[in-house]
Amino acid sequence: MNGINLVLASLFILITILVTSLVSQPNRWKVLLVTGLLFYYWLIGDKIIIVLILSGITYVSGCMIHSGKNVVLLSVLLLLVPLLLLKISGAGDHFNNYQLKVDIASNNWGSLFQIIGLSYFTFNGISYLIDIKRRYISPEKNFFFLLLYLTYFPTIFSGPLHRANYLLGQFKNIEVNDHSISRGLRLILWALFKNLVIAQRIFALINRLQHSEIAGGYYLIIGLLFFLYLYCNFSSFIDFFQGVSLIFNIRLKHNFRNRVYFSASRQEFWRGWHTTLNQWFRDYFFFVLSRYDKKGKYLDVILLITFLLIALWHGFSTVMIVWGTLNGLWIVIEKKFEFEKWKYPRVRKVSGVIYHLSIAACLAIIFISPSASFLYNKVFVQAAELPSNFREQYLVSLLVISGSLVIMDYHYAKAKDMRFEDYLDTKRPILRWLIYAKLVIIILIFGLSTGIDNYYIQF
Amino acid sequence: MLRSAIKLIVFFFITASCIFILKKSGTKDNANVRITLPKAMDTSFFFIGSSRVQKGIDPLIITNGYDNVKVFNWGITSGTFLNNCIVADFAIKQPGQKVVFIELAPLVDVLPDGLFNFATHTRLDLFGSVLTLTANQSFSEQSMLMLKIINDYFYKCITVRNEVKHIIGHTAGVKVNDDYEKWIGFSPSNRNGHYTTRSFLTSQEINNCRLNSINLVKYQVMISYLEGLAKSNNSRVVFFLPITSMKQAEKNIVIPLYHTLPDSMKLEYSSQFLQQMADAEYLLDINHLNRKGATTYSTLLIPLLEKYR
Repeated sequence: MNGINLVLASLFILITILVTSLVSQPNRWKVLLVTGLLFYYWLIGDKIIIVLILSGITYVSGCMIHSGKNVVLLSVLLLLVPLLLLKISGAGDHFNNYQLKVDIASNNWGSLFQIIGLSYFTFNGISYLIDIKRRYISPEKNFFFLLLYLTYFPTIFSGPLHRANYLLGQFKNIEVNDHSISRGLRLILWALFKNLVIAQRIFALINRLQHSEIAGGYYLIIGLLFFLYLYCNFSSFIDFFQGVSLIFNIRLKHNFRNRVYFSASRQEFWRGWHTTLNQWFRDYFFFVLSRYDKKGKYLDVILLITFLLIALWHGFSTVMIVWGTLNGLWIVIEKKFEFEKWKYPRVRKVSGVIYHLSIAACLAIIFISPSASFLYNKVFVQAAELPSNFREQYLVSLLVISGSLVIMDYHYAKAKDMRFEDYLDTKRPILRWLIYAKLVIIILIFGLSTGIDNYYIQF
Repeated sequence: MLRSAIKLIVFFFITASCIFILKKSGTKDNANVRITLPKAMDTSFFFIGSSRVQKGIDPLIITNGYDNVKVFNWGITSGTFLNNCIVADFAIKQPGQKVVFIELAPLVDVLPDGLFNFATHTRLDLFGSVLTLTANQSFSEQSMLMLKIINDYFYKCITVRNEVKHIIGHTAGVKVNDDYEKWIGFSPSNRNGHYTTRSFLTSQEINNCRLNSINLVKYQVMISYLEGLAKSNNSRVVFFLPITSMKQAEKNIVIPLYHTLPDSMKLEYSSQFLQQMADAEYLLDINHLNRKGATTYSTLLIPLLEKYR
């Protein structure tokens, strides 16, 4: 499964809104827990038992750590085992399986742990335990309240990742009102536009280009498209569930900076891309290791290892190791040259965007290549060429994609640092409704998919 | 909450009205297709699959190869294994003696628009068929699939892409370069838009297939059901490999599946057959045959089909 069925999601949201508004505020979190678990059960079936067992381990470990027992390492390892087994057993080439839109039900031993959202569940559990150890929080006394934090349905599929103290407080103030519904739905509409129109159309184009004769330098076009696709696909999925959560007045963390695709350096890019995951690796891995490097001699090496770890989270393969190493090296080199401090900020910004997009496109190609030899053959061995009838075959797709990207970027440029729902709040009602109408019309005419899809949902 | 409800009702009412008006003024995307069904005295060959079947199997050539055999090309654009099994379920239940040739494809829980059109035209019980074919699956899997079908159908109802195309000057169907695509049936194209042969199936790929860890149980349950149904309906089901594939991941599923089938239930291409087909001149694009390819493929199939008559 690559995405969430919109009818199922709508049914679920409607039922949860209805039930939530019928019960008193102290009990509303229970409604979210029950409906969320039912929704999750529907998606993963009996494997929910594994999630419940892991939640139990987290709960007990949290209490033991708080009472002074030295079980942090053991508990973290216990939580990590299913995720590691899943990653090591591997389910093949993720990109190819994803492209085929097929669930590769595997017979191998790791298939038991093929659970949607396992990564995010594990990361949330680990951060909870380490935060208790660091005395940032006290363990949650109510197991079910902790269970809601660990399996909160808008975050379980692909994040954003949260710290317990950020979410647990909000669960006590669940409220459904006109304002929350309005803000939530507008974010959902924005997400549908980005996902069903832009991301799906880019993906269809990648699909066609990848299986055409395209080769040589032109192959970079696929990398650039995949870079844009990943942003639109992933950020829209997050927007969708941020919208769902906002309906219940629970504000999830921001995960992508507006216009992150126009970053002028790799450092700037990573500061705005999947920020909650990067912060997680920073706080629970990089900072932990760097404490042992008191003179700061090996910070670059630790940074490189952190990127390797992020790459291995994507998949245990040679291609991912290469991808992670190159990403890490890129950041290290940029830091050495202090690129962000160069003179002439305007020139640096424009040239930086071109420089970043070019290298990011190369890395994106590595990210989706089935093997290093395939990529080498495609780029360096085969003669450079565009597919026959390129303009005739792809012109309409390119026009629709470009037009939609311009609309998306226009709104993000206007929003500046504001979140999309806040930006729409600043508009007059008539303008807001015109934006809604524009998005609905574009979705109905140019939308390609029947569900909200996410490349990272099986991670 | 009341204010939100009113706003949402107004919003949905305006949107639904616009969709309704567009749907009424736009063309019906299935207007150019007429589906004929076999009669009780007929001997029929059905070819069921995706657009590859639509592009590659010329029913007229195969009909001319035999006496008294009716040939139906029921390839549906974007057809997947589930789609093929649903259509095969319907074909087997038709009167007369039948051989149903089914293209092997990955099991994807997406039903193409064409299948909804097919169900409307033929009054096929889509949900009943899906429930029967997935009888071994758990309640959650089955209900998810049903919701997915409802979701896909709902989306098909609200999308106005074809209507807008019609309004801005396209005629019925989806125009792809010089050809109009039909959602079902033989839909040839004269174009030759590809010049490598790497997408053609080879005998090495069939023979050197590695046994992988993919779980094929869901496929096998559907195949067993169709086999049983065929026996009780004076029919046979025969599966065949697509002659071209765009993605290696697809071959990694369908070739192992092909090897699990008994010889009586699979169409076997000889290496000479595959060599004769592997010609870039026969390709419309990487995944489909053009008219020249369809003529060769259909002609080469005639002696292979002889034993099923």
